Amino acid sequence: MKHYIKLGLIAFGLFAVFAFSACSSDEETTTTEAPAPAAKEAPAKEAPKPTATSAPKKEAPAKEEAPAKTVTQDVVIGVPAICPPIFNNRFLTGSCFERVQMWGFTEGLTWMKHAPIPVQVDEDVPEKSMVESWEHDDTANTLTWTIREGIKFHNPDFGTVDAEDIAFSFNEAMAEGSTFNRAGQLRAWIVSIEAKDGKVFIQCKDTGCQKDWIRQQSNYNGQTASITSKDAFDQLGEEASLADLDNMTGPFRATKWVAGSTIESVGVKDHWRHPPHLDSMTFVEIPETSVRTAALVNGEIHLSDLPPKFVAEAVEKSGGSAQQIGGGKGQGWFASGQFWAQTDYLGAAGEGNDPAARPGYMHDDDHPWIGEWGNDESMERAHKIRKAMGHMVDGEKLNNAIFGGLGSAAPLAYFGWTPDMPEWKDEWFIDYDPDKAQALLDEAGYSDCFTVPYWIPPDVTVVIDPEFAEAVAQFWSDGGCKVEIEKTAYSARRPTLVSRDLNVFFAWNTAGAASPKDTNGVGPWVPRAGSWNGGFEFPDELGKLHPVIDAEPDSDKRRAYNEQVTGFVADWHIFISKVESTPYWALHPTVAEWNPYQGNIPYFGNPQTIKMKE
Amino acid sequence: MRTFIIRRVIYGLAVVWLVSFIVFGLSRAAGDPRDLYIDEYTTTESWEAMGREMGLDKPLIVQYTLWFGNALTGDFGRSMYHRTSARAVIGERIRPTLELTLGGLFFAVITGFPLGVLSAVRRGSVWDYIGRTFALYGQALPAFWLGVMLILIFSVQLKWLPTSQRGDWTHFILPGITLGWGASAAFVRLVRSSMLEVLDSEFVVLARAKGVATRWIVWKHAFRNALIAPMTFAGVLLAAYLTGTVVTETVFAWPGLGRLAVQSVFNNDFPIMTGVVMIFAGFFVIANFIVDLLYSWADPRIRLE
Repeated sequence: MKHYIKLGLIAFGLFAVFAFSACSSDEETTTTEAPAPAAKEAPAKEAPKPTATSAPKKEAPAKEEAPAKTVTQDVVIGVPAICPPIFNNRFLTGSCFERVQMWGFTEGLTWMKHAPIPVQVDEDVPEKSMVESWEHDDTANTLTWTIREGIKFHNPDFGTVDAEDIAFSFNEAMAEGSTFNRAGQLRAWIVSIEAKDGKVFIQCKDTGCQKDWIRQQSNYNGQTASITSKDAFDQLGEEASLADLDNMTGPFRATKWVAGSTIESVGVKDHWRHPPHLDSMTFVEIPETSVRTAALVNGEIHLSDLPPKFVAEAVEKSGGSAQQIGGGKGQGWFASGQFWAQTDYLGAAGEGNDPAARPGYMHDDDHPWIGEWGNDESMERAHKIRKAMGHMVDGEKLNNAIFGGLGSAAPLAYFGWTPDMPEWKDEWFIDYDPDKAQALLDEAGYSDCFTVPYWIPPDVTVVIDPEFAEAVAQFWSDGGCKVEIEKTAYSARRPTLVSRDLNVFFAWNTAGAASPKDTNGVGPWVPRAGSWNGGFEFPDELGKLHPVIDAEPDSDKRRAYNEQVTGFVADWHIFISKVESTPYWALHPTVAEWNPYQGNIPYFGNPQTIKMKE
Repeated sequence: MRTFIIRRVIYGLAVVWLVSFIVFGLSRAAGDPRDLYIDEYTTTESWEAMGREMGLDKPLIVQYTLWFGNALTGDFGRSMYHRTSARAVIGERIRPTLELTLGGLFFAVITGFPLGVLSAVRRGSVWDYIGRTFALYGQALPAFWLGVMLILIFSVQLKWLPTSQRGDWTHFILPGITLGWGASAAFVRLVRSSMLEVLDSEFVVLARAKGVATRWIVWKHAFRNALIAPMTFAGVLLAAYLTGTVVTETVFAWPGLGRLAVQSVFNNDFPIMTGVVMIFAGFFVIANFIVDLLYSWADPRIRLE
């Protein structure tokens, strides 16, 4: 009998341990939690859950501290990844930085007006922004920003946003060793930024101040420097301030942030720019697409970014709706390693560094897709290889299989040029034609193809769909190539994009057809030393156009310049796009309204406009 | 017994030390960690300063000694991706992993053991066929498929359980079943075969001849003697669950160590990667040590010396 008792005790013990763990799970240690009473505008720390519009069941059940509200506006958003809490531009990583800002926690210098698709932004008229007015002195080559008063950080101890905070935030973004995505773009035109007499003074480089800084520092790109508090840095030190949840000014104040799991936040009801409708907003990380779909159908989450084919299913089963965000994106790849700059024409290599250092420029037999600039034979051979790789891939099939037919396999060249535009050249389009691919490989002397190193960033799904990229690899394998896939996180691999090391096939995107073609500072589309590039550089004569485009005030001329530089990429097929994907989010029927910002990158944004049904 | 314990502890420490050596060697072989920080503006001076900060200016053996010394105190360095101490990040994930492990093990034990015993005792009956079929399917179904199917049935169709995430006790059911399913099937097979062997032995025949009640024979005499193989498996399983629940964690959005390990590989985050591997090694050593000790409890004939 005592053996039965023993067994029973063991089973009970096991159950008790399990039950204890399970039942006490809401007391977990978190990466970062906001200190108790921080911003006076913030409602209760644990937002109340169950209402007519709230999630059915969340981690923490409603507790006694729930305020006596009758109706609350709460939303739960399912996302594939939640990055660590890092609120210092210097340490932001590529795939994460936009989430901090566009998700409503921090803010940039300017805020552009909402524009419907296709995206057209009036670049000189920002909406209510942190920078209230500005002066450009051509003679002194300076730019002066006057900062709006009264913008509060969530922690009252950090005061209000002033010139010191702005200068600090930008200097951190440009600091040596900064991993901020647009550090190179800022350094390309800024010599120094400093706070003086309550204003921010920018000394620009000889090439002039960037003309469309308003747009570049806005929510348009989701790639602006977030404004954080210098006081927080001074008071708390670097490590504590970069993870401090109150070191921000956005319409939502995070109360709990666990990387890889969840973010809980409350709406800032007296926000200076746009008070949110929501009382609380929670992000939950659900990496699996099918599970995010199921959670949305079940009403556990209310909004989620899903691949198009899943959006249709989620909308049908939940009775909800789909919301497009931003214009389309050309999904394709760079044949990287074409570093054709002859000199350090932008002076961006940095003092003491070798401007000619281009470790990835290996135009040898192992890298047959890389051409040697100035060597016609090498250039032609590499061009044939690049075109052959494009002919192997069936865009139509990819659109149907990966994007549920909701994208488009119509011709789209680098930078979003399409056949209906006067700049279009027919030779830019590479159709699906395996026979032509084989013929080109034969001519190039690689009949059996070759080993194709192929980098697929798995963590920037809003930019490149990894499933699409893997399917491309399959087409190449079917074409006889030996494909070696590398799946390193974008943030980890990014330094090689700056240091001109990248010489592999690199799955990435290009602007869609609806993107503006007359933009200043074509930014990411014009790679250059000292900044991001997709593994190629222009020869000097073209590369030198970058500051010219940056400073050109005439829209038609900018468009012509842009055609010149980006058309060069299309001429040489350094980037090939196969499908223009259209980004959608799925909405549960309890979401009454959401007016997302239609920027050029389909990031989740404008959460302050979300309204739930009551 | 004491000698045995001391010897096992020494073996365990040796394993951990060996793992540390391999982990450190591989992390250094993968390239200079400073590569992750450089850009065009990195000067020789700042490169060297970074090296001094990371201890890279010292000979490898000194670097290893420093790293191992810190690792012994739980200090694995500062995560490059999370920008905080690797220990804090790893520590945050241990509890969810333990919870999921216990959930999976609980399901595996409460289903696998009784079904295995039933299958052996009622050999050739419908129970035996049910047990063997369950074992077959249990080991054949991949966790990612099973997890999604369970979500579709119990969350989407029946709306009984939540789809994913940590939370109250209802959140443990589907991940626990998904994780424990394969092990449960393995337990059925192991317990069944061990029980069959014991039930055919002479002392059981003698007990039956003496008129001892069947229930008493099964649970007191046979079951305990049949425990050795399942127990060994349970030890390995425990360690495997603690270190390898990536699929279940991913499907159910469970913020555990397995996913952290995979993410750290994607992010080239060496401090996290090395820290997690060291902890995994520790789990394995401890789990196996406990199993060794349990042997003597289950079968006094086993002399640990």
